[in-house]
Amino acid sequence: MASLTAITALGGITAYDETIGGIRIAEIADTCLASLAMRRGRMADFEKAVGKVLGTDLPAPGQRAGTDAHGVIWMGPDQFLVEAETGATDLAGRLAASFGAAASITDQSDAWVRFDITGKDVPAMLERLSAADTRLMQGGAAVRTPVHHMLCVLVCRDAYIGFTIYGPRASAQSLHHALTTAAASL
Amino acid sequence: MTQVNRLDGGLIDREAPLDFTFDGRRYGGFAGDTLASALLANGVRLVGRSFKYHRPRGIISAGSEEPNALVELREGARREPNSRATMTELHDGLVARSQNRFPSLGFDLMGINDRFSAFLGAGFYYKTFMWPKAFWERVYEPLIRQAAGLGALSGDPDPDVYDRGFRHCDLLVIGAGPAGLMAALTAGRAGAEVILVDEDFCAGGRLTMERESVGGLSGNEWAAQAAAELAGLPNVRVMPRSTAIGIFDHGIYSVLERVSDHLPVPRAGTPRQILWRVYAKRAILAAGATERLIAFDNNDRPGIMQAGAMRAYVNRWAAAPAERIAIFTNNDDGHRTAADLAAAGVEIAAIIDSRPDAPASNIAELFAGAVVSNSSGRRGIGHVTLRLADGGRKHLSCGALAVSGGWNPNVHLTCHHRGRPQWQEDIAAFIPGEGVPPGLAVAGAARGIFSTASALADGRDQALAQLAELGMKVKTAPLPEADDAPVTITPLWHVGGTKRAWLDQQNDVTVKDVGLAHQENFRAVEHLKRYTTLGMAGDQGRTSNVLGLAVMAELTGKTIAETGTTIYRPPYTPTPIAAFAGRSVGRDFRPTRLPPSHHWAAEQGAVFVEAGSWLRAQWFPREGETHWRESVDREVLATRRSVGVCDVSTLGKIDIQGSDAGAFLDLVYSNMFSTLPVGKTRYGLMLREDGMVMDDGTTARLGETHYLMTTTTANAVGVYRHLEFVRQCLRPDMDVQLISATDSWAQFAVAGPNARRVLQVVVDPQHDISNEAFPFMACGTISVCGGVMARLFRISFSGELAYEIAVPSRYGDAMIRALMAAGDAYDITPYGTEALGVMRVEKGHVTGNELNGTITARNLGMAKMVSTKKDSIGAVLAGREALVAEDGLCLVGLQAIDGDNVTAGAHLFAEGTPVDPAHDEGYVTSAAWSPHIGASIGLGFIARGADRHGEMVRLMNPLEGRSARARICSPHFIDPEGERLRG
Amino acid sequence: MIIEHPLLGPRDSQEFTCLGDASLLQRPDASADDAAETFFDYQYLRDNPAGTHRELWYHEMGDRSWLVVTRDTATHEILAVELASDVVTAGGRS
Repeated sequence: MASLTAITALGGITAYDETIGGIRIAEIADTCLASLAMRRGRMADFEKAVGKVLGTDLPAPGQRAGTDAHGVIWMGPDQFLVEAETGATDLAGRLAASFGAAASITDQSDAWVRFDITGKDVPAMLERLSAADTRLMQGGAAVRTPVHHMLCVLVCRDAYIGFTIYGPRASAQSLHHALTTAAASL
Repeated sequence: MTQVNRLDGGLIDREAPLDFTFDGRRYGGFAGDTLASALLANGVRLVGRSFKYHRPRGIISAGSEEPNALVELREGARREPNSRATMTELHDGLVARSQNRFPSLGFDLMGINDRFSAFLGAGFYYKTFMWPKAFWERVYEPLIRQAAGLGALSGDPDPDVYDRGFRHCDLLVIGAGPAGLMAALTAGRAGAEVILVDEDFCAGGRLTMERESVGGLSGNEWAAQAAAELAGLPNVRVMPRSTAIGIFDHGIYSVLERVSDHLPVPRAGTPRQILWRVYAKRAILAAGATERLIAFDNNDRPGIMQAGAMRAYVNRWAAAPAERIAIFTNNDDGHRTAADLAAAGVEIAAIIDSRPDAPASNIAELFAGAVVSNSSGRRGIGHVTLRLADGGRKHLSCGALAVSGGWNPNVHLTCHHRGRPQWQEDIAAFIPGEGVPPGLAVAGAARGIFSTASALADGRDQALAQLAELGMKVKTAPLPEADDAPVTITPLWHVGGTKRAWLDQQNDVTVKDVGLAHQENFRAVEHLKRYTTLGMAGDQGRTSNVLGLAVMAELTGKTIAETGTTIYRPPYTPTPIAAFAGRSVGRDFRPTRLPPSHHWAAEQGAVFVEAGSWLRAQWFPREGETHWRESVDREVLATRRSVGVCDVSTLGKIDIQGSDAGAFLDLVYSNMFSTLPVGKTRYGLMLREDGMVMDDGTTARLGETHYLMTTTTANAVGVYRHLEFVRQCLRPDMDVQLISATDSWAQFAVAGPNARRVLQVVVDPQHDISNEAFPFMACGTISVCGGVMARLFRISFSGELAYEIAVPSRYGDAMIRALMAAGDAYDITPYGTEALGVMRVEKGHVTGNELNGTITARNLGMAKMVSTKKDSIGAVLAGREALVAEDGLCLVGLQAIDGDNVTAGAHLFAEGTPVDPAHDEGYVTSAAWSPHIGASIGLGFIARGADRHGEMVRLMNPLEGRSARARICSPHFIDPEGERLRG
Repeated sequence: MIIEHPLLGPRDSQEFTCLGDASLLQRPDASADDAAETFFDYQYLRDNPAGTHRELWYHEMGDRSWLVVTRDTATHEILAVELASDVVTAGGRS
C-alpha cells in the first residue's frame, strides 16, 4: 500500500500564499506543534527541561519565548504550545522523552491551521477581525482571542507588520475567508 | 437648472457641480452640499408628509436631529427609506424621493387624515378600534399600518456588506466642534492614543456654520487647520462620518462609521458601514447642543426651521431658505441669525423677540414682547400672525421663519447608564447630571457651556483632567482667541392658541395631546412618552422632548426640574440592523467546520447538512436515486451486508493526562475508568450534578496516565467546559491536564461484516487486528499505509463489526481514498449522517435526541452504570426519590404497524385511554425507516417500559393532527445479543 | 463589560461565559450522611443579590481559565477577579 499524501488545512497539496493589497496571507503547513502542560507539583523539573530542551525560559502570560525556529507560546496557566519549524519530526515524541513525568505532551501539529500575515496594513485588517489591540503588540506577544468568532492564537512576530494566526484546523476555510475578505475590504 | 436660492460664499466646491433628482425632477448642487442644503438652494421647501396627519413638511434642522426631512434614497435593492436629508451627502446621480404620500407629494389623498384630526389624537387607536374584536388584526391594524408609517423597504436582499471592528485608545473624543477639537489637540499633542469621531463629513461642528473668528482665522479655517494637524499625528485617528451611538460598561463605545454612504456604490470589497467597538480608557463627550423650536399654532409648515439651521444653510452651504425671512426668538440667537442672514443679502421681514426687554436691532424691525401665534400658507409658510406686546395682532408675509427657543445640550450618551440630566435655570436646559458613565467627561455645549471661547477652554481642561487620571502629565497650551458672548434667554415653550401646535413633528404629537395625557392622568414623563408617543420616533425626541415636558410641567404646576426627563437609550441616532449583523449573514453567519474528508465527499456529490458548526455529509446519492430514502436505505443495507465507511471526526476528542487522570474520570463519569486496562475502550455516562445525563461517549486508555475521551458532536464544547470546571473549580489538587484533540484527527468508522478485511488492507502488516488479538473494545496505536501513525478503536455505533480508525488530519483526505480503494472488492459504501442515524436507532443507541436534559441513567436502563462505590458528579442527586421511582420512564423501541409512521415528538397513550395530559405516558425521541426491519421504527420513553414489550400504544401528535399505532419492543432492533460487534 | 483577567489583563466579557454563583466551588462531601440535603442546597439554592456578587466566569474564548469575579450586579462594577483554582486552593479544600 502506497503511503498517504498529506494535504494542507485549506485542502491543497501546496500551501496557499496570496497578496491582497498591502497584505500577504500565507498558509504555513509544515510547522510542528505540541502542547506542553506542566504536571502538578513538577515546576522545578519542568522549568529545567524547558531550558535544556527548548533553550529558553518559560514565557510569561500573553507571551511567546524562544527563537524564530523554536518557540514556546503561553496558552493558559501551566500550559504551553511548542512550535518548531520545518523538519522537526515527531516533536511530541521527542518532548515526551525529554520531559518524562514532568509534563503532559500532546501532538498538536494537525490541530491548527497557521496563517502568516505580513504588510503595513496588517493592523487595519486585524482590527476588523479581533478585539486584540494589535497596534500595540510587540514582537513576542501572543494572545488567545476570537478572530471572527473562532478561538485563535495571535502571535506578533514583528511589531505592526508581521503576525501569525493559529486557528482551529477544521475552520481553516472560514478563517481564510475571514482574512481574505478583511484584507480586500480596506 | 437654476439654484434659485443659492447665495455667494459657503463651504461648497463650485468647481464640482453635481446632478440629483428628487421625486423625479432633476436638480443641481455642489460637492459639500447635503441633500437638504441642495433642496433648499433649489427652492424646494416641501419634502415630505407627516406620519399620522399627512401634513406637508419641510426641513427643520441641519443635523442628525432632523424629524421631518426623511426621504427614500437610491433605487432597486439599495432603496433605503427614512434617510435624513440633512445627513445625506450629495453625490452625482443621487436619486431621492419623498415618502408617505399618494399619489404625489403636492397632492396626498391621505391628507384627509388632517381633517379628521379630532378623532386621531393620542391613543386614538386604543379607543376607536375596540370592536368587533376580530377586526383588530384583520381590518383595523392593516389599514392603520397602510395609512401611517414612513417609507418602505425594497424587500430585496441588501447588496452591500457591513462590517464590524475593534479599536482601542487612551482618549475617545466624541464630537469635533470647538470643545472636541481642542480636547483632541491637547491629548494628541501630549502623545496619547486619541480617536476623534464626528458624525459630520468635515470637522468643526458649529464652527463650520457660524460667522465668527477663532485665533485670528475664520472658525471654519481654524477647524480645518486643527483637523489637519490631528490627521498628521500618528497617535491620533480622526473618524469623520462616525457617530457614537452607545456607551456600554467599562469604557466600551459603539461607533457607527458610514464608510460609503456618500458614494453611489461602495468601492469593491469595502463595506457600506462599520460598527466599531471602541475600547477607551477615558472619553470626552463634546456632542454639542440641539436648538429647540417654540410651539405655536401651525408651527409645522415647510419653511419654519431652527434659527441655527438657517444660519448653517446660509453660512456653510450658501443656501437661503427663502428671499424674505422672519425670525422668532426668546434669546439672543435670533439677533445673530438676523445679522448673518442680512449679511448674506437675505431680506429680514422682522425679529419677533418674546422678551419685553429684547435688545434693540439695527438690522430689522423688532417686535419686543411679541410672539408668533399662527402661520398660514399652502404647502409652505406664506404669512405669520403676530400677537404683539400690547395684545394687538399683525400679519407679516415671509417665505421662511427662523425659530430659536434656546439650546438643549446633547446629553443623550450620558444617560446610557441611567444617568439623570439636571435642570440648569440660567440656560433653561438640562445638562448632564448624576450617573454619567465612569470614565466619561462632558465638555462644551454638551454640558451647557455655549460660547466658542469657553467651549475651547473646556475641551482643553477636560482633556487635561482625563489625561491626568491616566497618569499623563501635560503642559497647558494657550487657547486661540474666540467669541465669548453670554447666554441670555427667557424661556418660552409654547404660545397659547386654539389650533394645533406641534411638539414632536416626527410622531405628530401636539400640545393638545400632552393636555389629553394630563387629563387622563398619564402625567409622569415616562407615561406621557408612551401615551402620546412623544419622543418615540427615530429622532428620540431631540427637538421635542424638553418642549413636551415643559408643557406637562405647566399643566401639573411643577417645575421642569421636578418633572424630569425620560431616559435616553442607545442608539443615539437611527442605526441599520445590517450594521449590527455585520458580516455575520447568510453562509457567513458563523464559521463552518469541515471534516477532513469534506473535499472528497464533495467530489462524490454528497448532500451536506449542518450539524452544529460542522458541515457533514448527510447521504451520498447515486445516479438514478430520486429520493433521499433510496440513498439512505442503500447505505444502511450495504453496510449491514458488507461494509460501509463514515467520517466521524466531528465527535469531540479530549486528551486527558496526568497521574490523577483515572481518578478524574471516575469523578466526571458515573461509571469506573481508573480500572480500565491500557489498550481498552469503555462506554462512559456523564451526569450533571442534578443527576440528569449530560453526555455519553467512549473513552480509551492509551497509557497508564493517558486517556482519550470522546464526546457527542453537539456537546464537545460543553463537555470540555465542564471538565475544566471540575479540574479548576472542584479538584485543583488533582494532577490532570486537558487538551482538545478534535481537530487533530481524521477518524473514520468502518462498519460491517467485512470491516476487518478492509482494514487489513490498509493497516501495516506488523499489527495483528484479528478478533483474538484486537477484540471488541480494544484500542491501540498502529501504523497504516506504510508507516503513517494511526489509532485504532474497536467500537461500534451501528451494531456491526466495526472499527474507528484515526490518522492525523492532514492524511484524512488520503485515508478515505485509501479505505475506498481497499474496500472496492467488498463494495464498500460511504454513508452519511442519515444512515448513521438509522443504524443507531436500529441498534438502540442513544444520542442527543434521547439525552434531552430530563433523562437519568435509570430512564435509559443504565442504572447500574451509576457506581455506588465512588463519588461521581450527579450520583447523589440521581438517587432522589422521584428519580428512582419504579414507574419512571424507560427507554423502549417502537415499531409502527399497519404501515403507520413513527414520528419524533409524538406522545404515547395506552389503547382506549383519553388523549389528555393525565393519560400521557411518554413520548417518541427518534424515528427512522428501518430497511432492515422493513417498517417505521423509533425510540422513546414510556412509563414502566421495560415490562411492556409487546404492548400496543397510540402515538399522538395533536400539533400536526397525526396519530399512529405502534408496538412497544426492545430498543435493540438488531442483534440484541451483540454477537455481530464481537465477531 | 471588561474583565480584568488576573494573568492577561483587561479582556472583553464577550470572550467569557458566565456560570453564576461562585458557591458552586463548595461541592459538598458525597459520603456524608446528609449528602442528599447538602447536594440539594448546593445544586438549587443560590443567592441573587442586587449588589456585590461572586460569580464564576470561564474564559472560553481565551486561556480557558475559570475565574471568580466579584461584581456589583446593580452597577456592573467589578471589584475583584481571581483564578478559581487559587480561590479553592487558598480555601484549604485541596
